[in-house]
Amino acid sequence: MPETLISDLNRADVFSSLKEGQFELILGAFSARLASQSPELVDFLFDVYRDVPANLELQEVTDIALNVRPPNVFRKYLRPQVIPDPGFKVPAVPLPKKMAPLSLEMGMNLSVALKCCRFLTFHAGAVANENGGVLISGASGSGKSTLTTALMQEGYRLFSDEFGLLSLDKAEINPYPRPVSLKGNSISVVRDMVGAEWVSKSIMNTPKGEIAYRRARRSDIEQANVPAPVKLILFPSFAENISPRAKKLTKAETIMRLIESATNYKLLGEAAYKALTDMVVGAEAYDITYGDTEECMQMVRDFAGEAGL
Amino acid sequence: MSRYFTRVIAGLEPIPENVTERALLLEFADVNHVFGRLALVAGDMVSEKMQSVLENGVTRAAYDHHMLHNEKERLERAFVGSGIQPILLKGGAYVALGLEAAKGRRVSDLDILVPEQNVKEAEEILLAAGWNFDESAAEEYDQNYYRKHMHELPPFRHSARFTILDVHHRLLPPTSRLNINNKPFFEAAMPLVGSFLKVLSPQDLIIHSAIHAFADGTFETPVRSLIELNLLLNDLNPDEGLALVERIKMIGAEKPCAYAFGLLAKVLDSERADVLLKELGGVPSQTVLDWFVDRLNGNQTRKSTKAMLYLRSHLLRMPLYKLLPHLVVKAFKRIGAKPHPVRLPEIQ
Amino acid sequence: MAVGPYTSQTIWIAEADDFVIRQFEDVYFVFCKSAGTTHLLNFLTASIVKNAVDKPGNMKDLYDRVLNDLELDAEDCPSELFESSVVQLDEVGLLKPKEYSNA
Repeated sequence: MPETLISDLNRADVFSSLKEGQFELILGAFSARLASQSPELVDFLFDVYRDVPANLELQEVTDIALNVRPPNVFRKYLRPQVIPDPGFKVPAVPLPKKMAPLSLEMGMNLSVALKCCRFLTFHAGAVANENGGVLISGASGSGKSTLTTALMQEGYRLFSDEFGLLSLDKAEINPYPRPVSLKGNSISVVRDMVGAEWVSKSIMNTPKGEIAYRRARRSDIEQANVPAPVKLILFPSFAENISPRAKKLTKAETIMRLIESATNYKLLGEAAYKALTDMVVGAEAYDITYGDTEECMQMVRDFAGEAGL
Repeated sequence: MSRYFTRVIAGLEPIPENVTERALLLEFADVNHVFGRLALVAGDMVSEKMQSVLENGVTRAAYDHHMLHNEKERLERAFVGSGIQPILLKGGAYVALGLEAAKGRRVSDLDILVPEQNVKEAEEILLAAGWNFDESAAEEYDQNYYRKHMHELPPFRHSARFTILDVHHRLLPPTSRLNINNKPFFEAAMPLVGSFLKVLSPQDLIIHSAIHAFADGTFETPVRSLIELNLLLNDLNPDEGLALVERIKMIGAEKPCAYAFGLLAKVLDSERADVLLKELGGVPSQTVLDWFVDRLNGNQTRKSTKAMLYLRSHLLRMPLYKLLPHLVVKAFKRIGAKPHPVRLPEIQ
Repeated sequence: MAVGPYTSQTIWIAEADDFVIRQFEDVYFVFCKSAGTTHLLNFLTASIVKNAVDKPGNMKDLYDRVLNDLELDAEDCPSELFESSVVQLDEVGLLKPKEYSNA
């Protein structure tokens, strides 16, 4: 069956499919069944997810099932709000109705982090070119998403700005090219870098401040089933007005840090230990502190060259 | 729908062909904590995609079972030479015994039963072995509440492994109106092969499961409880089945067991449960049985039903005059309650 | 915080089948299959485990052999430090008294 992209679909059809909880999104490592009554969500899908394959009627069971819904029947009438409901108890913050897209993104991220055990999952950005992949591990605020975007500009394909998904049987990461989430100052940095037409309009005053999304490119999505071996691992941290510094990490340091950043390391046991150590054997790792994205990229280009990328 | 899905997960109906029904079945199994069980029942009879989704449940159950075997060994080490032989309860016992009811089941906590006169010593042994009282119950009010009115010590959490352990000394609190005779449970407990820990007898496993589901205030997992009871009952040979009714009467657990068998007969068409129910003289209240069915059907809009069940369960556990202060304190605590943070992986 | 009681006569054993060990630079990453946990061993703890795999022994016996292997004396590694390392290794499942081993 030929793939239908969201942009090929009719808006009213998508909305009624969402209302019936039949909407199926097929994107790399994980498929999702979505349900929602929110017109804001339809707008968001047509903008940010426009090149993603989708079905109006569920064709197969999905990895993720998410209902972006009002917190309860009463609240719907009091003040319009939405929460992501992935079918299990999470500390989800109810958001104003216009923030339904944020609710969708948070809900999908939670589902991947807490429910999916097929991969060893790192809290990391990931990109790859034809020679191999780069894993960018860092907490929020480390510049993970900005660096992911900058590497996309250099010809790398987007895997994810949030999850490094390592196969358990070989040292390969797997794409899940959802939109790159940008916060605060990084929004204008990325708009300048890639052009305003590639970045969604901002959602203001969210619990995380201003948020916007950088769309995945059609080429990222078309290759969403092609994994890549990890060659380079970066641990960036961002600080204002700091001259760039980098330190090569030992394998032992790298392993320690990656175990901390994996959401399901303990759960996956021996398979996770083997996959992680195998990956580190085949990759170079650096700790990077930077205050300017371009300065950081100059170092990253060198490291990538040395790692054979 | 819920009755139908429960029957599918119990292996009584084939997996639906329709994709939407399959998707809803997966979500039902997930919400009701029987995802691993569904994986087992579905096997390779479903699409590769569905098998891969269900594999998540297999992975989690495997992790839990692994954890449990390790914790069981740690408990043996802690209690060796003390003369106390703790009895493993619930999921921990099913896993240790390798019962059908353990397969695909998640076990998040350990539960053990020790004689009341050994509780103090057990507490000291566990504290020395690195078990501490869990933060959630570390406040003085909760500590007192557990010790005074409940049938267990406050929950322990291991300081390095973070596993949770509940130490019981009876199966219902002393203040409960439902008068259960605890002594026979200890007397009939059987040694666990290859261990000095003990487990309840096959009949007592069923009785305890019924008490836990229908008289113990735990209505959070009705589907799982029902499927578990069905599997435990299927494990009994005919002689053990006959002895079960006598045992229930001797222990004084007619009421919860009648509801358990009533529900098994109604939802899973269990002939065995039907026979046992007749022997017991039927369910004490059809209305209450219907409430349980309602609960099983996930009739969430009927909040009152849930509230009534909650109250009812607490009434079975303690007289009302003792109950009210606890509920009031609990209600106030909830206002300031914070959600538990998601625990990140640790390395030692 | 020991797992359970032990004496100076307790024979400590490490079961090689229960680990996966990989060396990186000067440290060892050990995955313990029975406990499902990953540990980082330094030269001292690694030597204790190695000695207990090769030939199980009581506390004193292991102490003497490890000190000999690492060319340390009691001043470098006091017996209290050694004993607490053994207890820690027991806690995480890498070492255990012989009566609890499957071997």
